[in-house]
Amino acid sequence: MRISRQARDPFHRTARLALVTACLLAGAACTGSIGDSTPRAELERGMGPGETPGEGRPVIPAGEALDCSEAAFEPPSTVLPRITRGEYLNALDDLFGYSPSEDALETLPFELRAPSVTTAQGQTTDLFHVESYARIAEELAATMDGFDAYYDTDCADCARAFIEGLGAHVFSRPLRDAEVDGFLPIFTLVEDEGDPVLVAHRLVLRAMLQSPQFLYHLEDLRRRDDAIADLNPDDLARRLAFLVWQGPADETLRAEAAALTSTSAIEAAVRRMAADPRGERAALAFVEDWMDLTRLERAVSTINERTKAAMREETDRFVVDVLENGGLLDLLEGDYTFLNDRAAAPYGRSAGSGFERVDLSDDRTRVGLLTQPAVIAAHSNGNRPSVVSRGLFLLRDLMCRDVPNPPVTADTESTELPEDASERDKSAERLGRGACGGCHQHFDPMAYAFEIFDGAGQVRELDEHGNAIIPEGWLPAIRGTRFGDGAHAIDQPYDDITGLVELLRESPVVAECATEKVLTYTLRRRLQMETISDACAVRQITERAAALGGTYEDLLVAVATSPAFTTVRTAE
Amino acid sequence: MKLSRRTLLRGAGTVAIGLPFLSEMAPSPAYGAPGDVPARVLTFFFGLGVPVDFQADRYAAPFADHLGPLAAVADKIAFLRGVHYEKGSRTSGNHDRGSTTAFIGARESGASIDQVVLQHLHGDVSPTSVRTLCAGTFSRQDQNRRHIHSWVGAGMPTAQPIESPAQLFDRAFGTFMPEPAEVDEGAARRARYDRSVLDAAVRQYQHVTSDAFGLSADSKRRISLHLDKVRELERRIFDPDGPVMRPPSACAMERPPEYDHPELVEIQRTVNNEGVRMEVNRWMDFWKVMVDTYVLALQCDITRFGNLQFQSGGERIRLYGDYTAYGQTRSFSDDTTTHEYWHSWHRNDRYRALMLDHIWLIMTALTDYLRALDDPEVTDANGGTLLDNSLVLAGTELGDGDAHDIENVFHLSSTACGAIRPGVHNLDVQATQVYNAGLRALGIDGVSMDGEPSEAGEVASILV
Repeated sequence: MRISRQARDPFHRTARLALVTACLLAGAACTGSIGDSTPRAELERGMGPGETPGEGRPVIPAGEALDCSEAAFEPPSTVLPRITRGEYLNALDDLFGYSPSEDALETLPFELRAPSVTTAQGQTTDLFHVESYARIAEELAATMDGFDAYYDTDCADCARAFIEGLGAHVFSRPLRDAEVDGFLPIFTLVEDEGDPVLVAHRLVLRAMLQSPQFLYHLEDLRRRDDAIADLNPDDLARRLAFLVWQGPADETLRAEAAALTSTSAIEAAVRRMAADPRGERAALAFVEDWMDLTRLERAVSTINERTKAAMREETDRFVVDVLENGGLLDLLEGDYTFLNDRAAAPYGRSAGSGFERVDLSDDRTRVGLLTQPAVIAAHSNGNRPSVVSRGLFLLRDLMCRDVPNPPVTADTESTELPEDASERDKSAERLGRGACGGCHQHFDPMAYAFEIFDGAGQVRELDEHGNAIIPEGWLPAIRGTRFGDGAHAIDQPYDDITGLVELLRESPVVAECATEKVLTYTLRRRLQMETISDACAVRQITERAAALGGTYEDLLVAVATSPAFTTVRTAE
Repeated sequence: MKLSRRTLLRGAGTVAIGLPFLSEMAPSPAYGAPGDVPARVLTFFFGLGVPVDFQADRYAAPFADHLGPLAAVADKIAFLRGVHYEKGSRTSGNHDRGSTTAFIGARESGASIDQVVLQHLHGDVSPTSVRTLCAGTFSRQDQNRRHIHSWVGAGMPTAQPIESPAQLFDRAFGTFMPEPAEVDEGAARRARYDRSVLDAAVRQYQHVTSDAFGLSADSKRRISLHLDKVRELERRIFDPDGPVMRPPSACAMERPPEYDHPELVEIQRTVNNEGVRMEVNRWMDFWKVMVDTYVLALQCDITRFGNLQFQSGGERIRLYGDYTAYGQTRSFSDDTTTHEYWHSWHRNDRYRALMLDHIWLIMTALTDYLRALDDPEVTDANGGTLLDNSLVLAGTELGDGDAHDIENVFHLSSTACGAIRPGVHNLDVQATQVYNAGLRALGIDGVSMDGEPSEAGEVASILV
């Protein structure tokens, strides 16, 4: 069953957040620091009840440094997330080794990334989803020749036994009686029709794949003794699986779910799981979301699709290589990459048809992920890279900060500069204006280093107007925040892109931001960093991951053992 | 079961853009409407606003110049001046906030008025085959909050807005039925099996939304919305002629063409702020087909609630060429983007003129929609047109685009079965109060947009 369509889902194209490029959007209401005590506009941060500042949970006193010495985590009430398109496809692959046909996938919408990192807020479920789920389930079931592996065929009540067995596989937990009962009428119908039991088995599978227990991150939130409770073992196993694998729990994990009652047990499970190839898949998916790399698909029309694919593969190979033994911040450095002939073009290098590791230690323009063509092009605002676009990308996705809305008094149009003025000169003018400079001072200077790259990620000495590039800048000071005055207390100058990346790499703000992104991504809710609970969760995870060794795997362990991950707020 | 769309006439993609082929095929009289007049709430959003200086005034001819197209429906609309999204908060207004506050009022994470009414009257049971239909043009796809104007509440969008007439057709009219050659016992059996699958899934949704999992009210709402789509799929497959789907045969229409104009493709893909060049007639042809398709869905009672949008909040587009409508012609320049006209009109006379021309264009788009709803050939049981009998609210995101404020935000209403006085109303109120008045106009008491039994109430003066 399907409706064929010639165009892909509109939300896919609408889902991506782009960066604004002008002072008029970035605004100039900032008159000082943009600390945590300045709430971002609620809608800048996302949508939904999770966006209400504090939501009754204690908030960090304005202007004070964060004190986590006595903080106890209080989970908020959340909106149920639907599994994402990527998680759905992984689940089908993991559970049944099945990949839908392109035709069947045509109508399955892509996810909304709003405003940064995919969360439950803003998710919709439309007829397009439902239709796709139905059709894909039908296709998958038709490929199944037998289901003996899912239940004990030596059974008295085989219908129930089958539903319980297959259901546990699909839902990653034992089914309740009411759930089993809901599928039983299928057996009755098939028996009445006189068809073999395989028909019933296939129909039940189709129904399960369209059920909320499969399509949503459904957890048992019934009230226990306290409003805040530990996840039940099956739900914890499921969370772990989606954290580490971006897919469902397997039989091994489910079997040990009941034993996941201690930090050491959870850590052991995560480390075992991280060694599985599915861990690589999840890491790549997170980095894609964090860096919003799907923007590359429609970025910079001068790059052809095959080159874009090569650029993405370069980045993916680099990410996998770094995260094998390193951490997320290690992605920011690295004097090497992986190139083939197409991926080498933006570097002005030559390479063979296959990807090979290439040493870049003699090139001060290339250092780590942020300088790779895929990332540069994804955030280049079409063919016209701008300081504002790049600066806001760094501010929002590397530092998890934002700027307030513009004041109505800002004069965003008048300028004494010619149209062919450099981005640097335009920025200097913005910084010189009280109205604009108040905010732009916090992100423009970070982006100067990226002026050496054109929109396609190639190094340039002159901009499109022939102006010389000045790569010097500074990492702006951040004061009066949850970091106190210990982080970025003063502007920190840099000479070039390598210098900037070194500053970012050492920044505690960036370190906590990376954790915030991971936690947001796995919990599918926008964190409320103005609350002591969420801010301390991020800080404690960051510190624990560093203490464990600082690798990506260590970060996963720190997340998985955090109360932010293992506890829920139960029903009133 | 192999299923195909009943109404799709394959090969119809060559239909010329802008031809009134849809209206010719519209049913008459209004279809699907029951013996009494059904409640409909239809919002219309346009980006960038109309500065208060150029809104209709009680003491001047309301339809002069840039508002001229609306004269075509003059006795069926009410201009609502002095409507604020957040009174006194000039520094917090912007395109995002205004766009997401439209049709909600003061609380950005609340439900929009279409959903408040829908939920109040029908709960989670959809009264029509499509519970809510959202469509329109929106090129600022990087800012999703600027083109979503129907909200369930708790920050959850109601539906995915559709930007293509062909996809809108699919969403509204797409249905499923067995291929004629397959209508045999085997096919009938497969249909029974298909239904059993969906029925089993529905039982799981019902189980989950009981207290079995302790889900929050918002989470249950999300599941309920999903279930509504499952039921819609079920209806489309198994009950296309049923009482909810309505007789589709009388609503048969050709599927609108896919628009393959390079400019439109670019508009739909662009993420930059430079704006896309577009010849104005192409843009408006696209719009008219969108309107025709959307209104036909209303006429066929496919839906009664939703949002139609003409350009998103903070829109940036470079229109060029001459456009003639409603006896007037305007010339458009692609010097810069629409957003910049609004942003500089106080200081730049040329931009002021361009902004006014573009406001005129917006009003032609709005008038296209209102006139289509006012089709005298398609009436409800009381003899009124859909425009007469619906609460149609037109709104935008900003008051003055130059200031980016959210005071004096242009609002316009239909008369809603004669409950709202036509003409110009000079107010000084929160949008919530106006929307509350809309609820009263529909005979809904004891419900307010902010969820509070507030004494602030509605604006009684606009009610008859």
